[in-house]
Amino acid sequence: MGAGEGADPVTSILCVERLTKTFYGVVALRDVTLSVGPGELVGVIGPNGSGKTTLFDCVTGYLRPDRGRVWYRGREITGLPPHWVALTGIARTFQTVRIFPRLTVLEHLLLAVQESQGDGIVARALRTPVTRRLEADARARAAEVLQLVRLQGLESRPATHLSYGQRKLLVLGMALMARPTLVLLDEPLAGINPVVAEALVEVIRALHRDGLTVVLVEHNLRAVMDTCQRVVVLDSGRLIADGPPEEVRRNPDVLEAYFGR
Amino acid sequence: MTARPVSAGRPDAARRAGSPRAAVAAALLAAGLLAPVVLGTPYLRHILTIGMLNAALALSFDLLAGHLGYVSLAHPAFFGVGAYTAALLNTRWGLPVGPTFLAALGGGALLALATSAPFFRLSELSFAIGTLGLSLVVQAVANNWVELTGGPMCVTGVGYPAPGFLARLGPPQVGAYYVAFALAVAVAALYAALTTGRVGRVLAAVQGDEVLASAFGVNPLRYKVVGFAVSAAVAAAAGAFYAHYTTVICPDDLSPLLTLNLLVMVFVGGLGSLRGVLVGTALFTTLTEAARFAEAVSQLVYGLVLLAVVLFAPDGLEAILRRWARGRGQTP
Repeated sequence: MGAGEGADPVTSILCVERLTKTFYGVVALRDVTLSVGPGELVGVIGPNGSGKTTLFDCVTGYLRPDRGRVWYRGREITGLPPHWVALTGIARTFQTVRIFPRLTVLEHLLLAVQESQGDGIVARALRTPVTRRLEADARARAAEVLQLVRLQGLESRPATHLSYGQRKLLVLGMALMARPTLVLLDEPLAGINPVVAEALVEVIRALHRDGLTVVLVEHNLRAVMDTCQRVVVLDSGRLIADGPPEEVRRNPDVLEAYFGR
Repeated sequence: MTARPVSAGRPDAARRAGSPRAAVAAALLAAGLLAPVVLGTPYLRHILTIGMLNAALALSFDLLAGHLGYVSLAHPAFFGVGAYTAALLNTRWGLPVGPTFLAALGGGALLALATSAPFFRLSELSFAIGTLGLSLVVQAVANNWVELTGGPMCVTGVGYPAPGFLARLGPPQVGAYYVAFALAVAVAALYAALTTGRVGRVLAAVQGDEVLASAFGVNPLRYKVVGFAVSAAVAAAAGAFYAHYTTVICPDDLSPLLTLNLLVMVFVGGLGSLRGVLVGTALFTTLTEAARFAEAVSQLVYGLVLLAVVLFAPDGLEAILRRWARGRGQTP
């Protein structure tokens, strides 16, 4: 496990094998193979256009890879639609902060968990006892998550009233609502002030301590090097390095990708 | 559109605000039940009945337009399928009034389910065009499949909707009114159940950002198809009522003009709001009736009202009501 070569679909949480994706002839991912073990905190870095987001999109079903396979906890999930992937226990965030314009902060959190609670449309419309109990569970969980992402007191605000940094915290909170096993964070630190960034890094560290598996795409190299025990580097769709931060920092291929020859 | 909480049972402030709402609902119900007794003339009862029919149609239209962002121009098609299903089953095969409503409901829902797969592949704009196509096709079938529908000769002699104990309430229009009233109340309850709480939250999410919603396990297509089918089933039930109530159904009753009327009711009242749609429906029904007395100026008045709404309440009358309620709340 860890910085190993090759794919191990059985014991890993997430396993990606020889993933390839091209857009009209432009290679976005080429033969990317990667295993993430339980409880790991892995940073994915790389220059713009190196395929980081494409990797997330192929894992979570938003894009269908041309070739290669994706496993999650020993089950193949290649080509499943996004909502199925989400229900297997993979949570993700998006690079551009997306929110629902008509929902409050609390409603965002409740929405993020309710589809995994399994009550159907009819039960919900009729407000059956089961649905009411699940809603109460969701609200209890939301209170915990609000604390965790430091948005207490803002729950009845429309999410459109939040600052950019607060939206990023909200989105992270949504990802945690359903107690996922694996969280994929796409540039959680981009574009926010250092204070909120520090808070976010703290939250991510706390999640890691609690045993959650986290994969983090990030432009902020220092944050990745400081936070992750393992760093994966993509360049032009190829995986060029995979290992502990100190090792990756000295890797000549990485230096070349970032600074040129 | 402004952010608007959709959850039912929100804590404290919102819950307290719920009790006057319940009082208003109870008052409306009582008024609806007593109306035909108080309003003695058949003409006023007729207007009330049409108002109830309009309310059911407008709410079903708004379920899709106001809460999922899809403006369906296929309402005349579902209305027509319901009307012809009920009329033909009743006149040709002797199915009693009542079961005809269930058959109409099923017919509308089936047509919606069958057409939803291609329709929801389209963007919101193309969806409107696609559904317009469906309404034209259904009208063309009603016009041209003469062996089944009678074509322009219409289906006549459809049973009047005052069956059983309703017939003993007094004049038949009273029974018919109560059927329309029950339909409107049921549709309003259905609308409220689907646009608040856990379902309403999902609809708001799907309308707001499908991509984000699906990252949390929401299957957007499932909710859109359910919304479309429910909307269609209600339109079909309304069509069945219309066929029974007028005892005649003709291809002209399926004209795209119906959609135009619904658009006016919903957009003048307030897209996506139960109260707004009901206010819009009441205004539309009253104005179109009032216009009958002043045929010469009716188009002018109609145009002026629309113009006034667009100028002074572009988000519908509901936005004004809300601003008013807020202002009142701030100065106690």
